[in-house]
Amino acid sequence: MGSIQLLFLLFFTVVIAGIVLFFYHKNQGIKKVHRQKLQWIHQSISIHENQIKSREEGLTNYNFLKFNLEESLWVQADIKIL
Amino acid sequence: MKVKKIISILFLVFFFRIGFSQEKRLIDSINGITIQNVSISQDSLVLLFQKNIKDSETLNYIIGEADALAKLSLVYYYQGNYKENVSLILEAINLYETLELYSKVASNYGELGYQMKRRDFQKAHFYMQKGIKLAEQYRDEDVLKNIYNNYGVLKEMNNELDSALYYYKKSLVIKEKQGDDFGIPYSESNIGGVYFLKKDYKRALNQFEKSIDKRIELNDSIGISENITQIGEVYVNEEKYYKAIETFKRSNRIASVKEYKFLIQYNYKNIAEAFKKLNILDSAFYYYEEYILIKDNITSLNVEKEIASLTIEFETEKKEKEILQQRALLAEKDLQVRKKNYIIYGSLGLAIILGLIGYLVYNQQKLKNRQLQKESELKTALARIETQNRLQEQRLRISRDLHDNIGSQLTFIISSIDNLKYGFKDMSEKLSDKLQGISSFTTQTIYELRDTIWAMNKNNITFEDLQSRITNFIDNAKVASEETTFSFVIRKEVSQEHTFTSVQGMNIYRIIQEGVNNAIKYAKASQVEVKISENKGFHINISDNGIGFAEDQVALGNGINNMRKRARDLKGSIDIISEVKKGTTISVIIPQSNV
Repeated sequence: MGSIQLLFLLFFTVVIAGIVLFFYHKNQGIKKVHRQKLQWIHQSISIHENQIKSREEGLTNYNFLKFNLEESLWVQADIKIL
Repeated sequence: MKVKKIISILFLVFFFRIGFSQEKRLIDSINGITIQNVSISQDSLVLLFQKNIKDSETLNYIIGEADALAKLSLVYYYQGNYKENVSLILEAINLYETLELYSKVASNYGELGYQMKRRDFQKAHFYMQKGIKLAEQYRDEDVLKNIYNNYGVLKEMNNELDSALYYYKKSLVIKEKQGDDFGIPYSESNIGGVYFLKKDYKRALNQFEKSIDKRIELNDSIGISENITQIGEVYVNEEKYYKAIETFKRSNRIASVKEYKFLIQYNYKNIAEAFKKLNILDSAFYYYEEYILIKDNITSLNVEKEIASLTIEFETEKKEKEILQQRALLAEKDLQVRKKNYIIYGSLGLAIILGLIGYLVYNQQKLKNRQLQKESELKTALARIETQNRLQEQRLRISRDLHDNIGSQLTFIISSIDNLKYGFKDMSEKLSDKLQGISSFTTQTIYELRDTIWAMNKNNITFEDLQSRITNFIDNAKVASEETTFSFVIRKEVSQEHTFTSVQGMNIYRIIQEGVNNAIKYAKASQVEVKISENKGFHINISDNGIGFAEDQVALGNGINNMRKRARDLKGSIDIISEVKKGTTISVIIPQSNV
């Protein structure tokens, strides 16, 4: 194999490796951003679920005839309702 | 043939390039080519030896270089390029001297002198003597025997016949000593020739006969025929014309076998002249004609040969040109093929790179789409749960407002009525009953408000939940109307786990509440029964043993109409069967599909 062919092969391999590495890193970045987004959404859902659950528990256990509604109807400050 | 030889030599050149020692052997083998006999063109020989000189210089192979210079010098000599001829042979001699190869130095001086014999006799003489001195100094008989012979020729040319005889004899002595069978008759012929010139015909004949004897042993027909001709010449000079004619004829017979035409025509010329001397003119004319014929033939042959040679040379040159053109064409094609290959490989590489980029971009897009889909699903779920939360929050806010504002206002009304009752002791019974009615109604309104708030804040109401609220209501009813017996029956087939929406639960509760209230308030019943069963839907029965009513005679209030509306909301049916003095039965059926 001549030196030109060898150089060509080397250049080609480097280009291929470069492209693969570039896309690998880009994909890793995209996955990282996605993971962070999902984590944020899951956290938000979890906060809402917990809020609804705790409120429903409060309402279920509340006896209207005996207790004042204030106990279960307090406003949850940690929930931002748009 | 020439081309073939050139190609084979070039092939040899290529083949022997494998190794250093092989290259030296190649140089030696090229230097070993006998220039006089080889059928390669002079130009090719020049190129070949020039290359050999260059290769020898590259390899620092001095002896090879000197040999190649000597050979090239000889080629130039044959070409008539005497300037180069002398320059190169002197260069070769210098190299041989550097290497102390005096035998070669002597031999080349001898050669140079012999080559210059016709151009510059003095110089030829000078170089030959130099060669002889050196060869004698180193007693190199192989060189000496040739130089002596050539020097004899030089002397003979200069008409120094004794000196010529001396050197020929010296050469013959060495040849005899070495047993040089080919060289001896040659020297003897030369000696005979000198005797002939000296008109010593007896000795001349003796030498020629001796030479012929040797040549017969060697079967050298050409040499024999030449010697016989020389004998014939002796006879002519002795004026023995008939003998001379016979001798020339004898020479021709032998020369004819070898087609030695030059000698044949020379013999015919001598025969013609001999006949002329004898005054036999017709024979003289005949042999002269023969002489002319062969001479023409030779000339024609020479011309043909020359033409053939020129044609071959032309063809060779043409073919060489063609070969060069073909080579150039091949090189161009090779370049084109290479270019094409580079383009193909380049395109292939580019296609692979583009394909790879495409695949990677596609994969990335696929990944992004998957992520977007997942994100979208989760965002939808988040939006839903946010809405649900907001809705619940709003419902709670409304509930709180209802409870805090309307509830407290109703409580204030009850409290005010109670204060009125206590403050005005002398109020009429009618007014007191009226106030009591308002107070009870307000209390009932508070309960209903609370029930509404309860239902509103529930997404789902289980049957168990509903049951507890109905039981609670019945218990309150029992307290309110002590003379009435209440029974609340739930058939065992009814699942406790069954769930209703808050609106459904509310409507069922309100229907039962209205039915029981009517039984207490208007029917004056002593027994009220609430029964819930399940058979392809929910069946609710509220029956009492009160005064009953006839639908056409009684103006029905809002209560019954409300019950009918709620039953419609539940997508169920309601039947109110009442008989005067026997009681009333309210049947509500809610199909399974609607609960």
